[in-house]
Amino acid sequence: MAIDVLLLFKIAGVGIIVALMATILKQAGKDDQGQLVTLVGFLLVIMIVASLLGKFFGLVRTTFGM
Amino acid sequence: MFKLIGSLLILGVSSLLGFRVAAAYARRPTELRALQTALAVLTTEIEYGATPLPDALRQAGRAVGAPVCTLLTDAAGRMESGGGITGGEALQQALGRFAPESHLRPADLTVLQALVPVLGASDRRDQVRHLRLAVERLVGAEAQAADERQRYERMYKYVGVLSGLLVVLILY
Repeated sequence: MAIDVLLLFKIAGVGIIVALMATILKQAGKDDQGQLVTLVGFLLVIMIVASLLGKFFGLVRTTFGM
Repeated sequence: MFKLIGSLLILGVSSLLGFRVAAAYARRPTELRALQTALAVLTTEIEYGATPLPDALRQAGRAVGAPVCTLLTDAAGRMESGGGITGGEALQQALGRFAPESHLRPADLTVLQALVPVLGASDRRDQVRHLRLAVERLVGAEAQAADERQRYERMYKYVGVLSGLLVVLILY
């Protein structure tokens, strides 16, 4: 359980930092790079979430013996 | 413990990189302004003082700070050391050494390169005209550099620190 909370905070932190970075880049007129950073952050979070989901489905499968 | 030290190291390095890039943006306008001052002094020395070129270069170098000053005194030293090189050749060689030390763009350096065939090789009026033109082009470059500094200096600082933070957060 404790690991899950840490992971949640990690995802939140990535979100905050990526949002900040995208804003700053956009302010400096580098819109393309800002979008790229947002995309990379999104993919990172997706990767974390996907591995969590995989774990979850594995758990379900072992629980019901499928 | 090692994790903490490693994260601090990553954060420090990425911040340092960001600050260095930002510093380059901050120094370019300063150097361009110093070059303008130096060339203005050089123009005066040539136009009204009719000073010998090495002395005029030294005089101009004395009017400004570190990187530009070394360029001019270096050129003056090369002329005085004999070997029969012209003022233009001395400037060319000094520029070759100056380029990696300075934070100027190649476009800024071509303004100075344009002085190479002229300096100490034509009459006073022609040299003064070329120097004035160079100063004018430097003024334009400085305005552009100041604009870029205002836009990118802060951005690179923030991006450096934040990217370090991001890497630490992902790896932790």
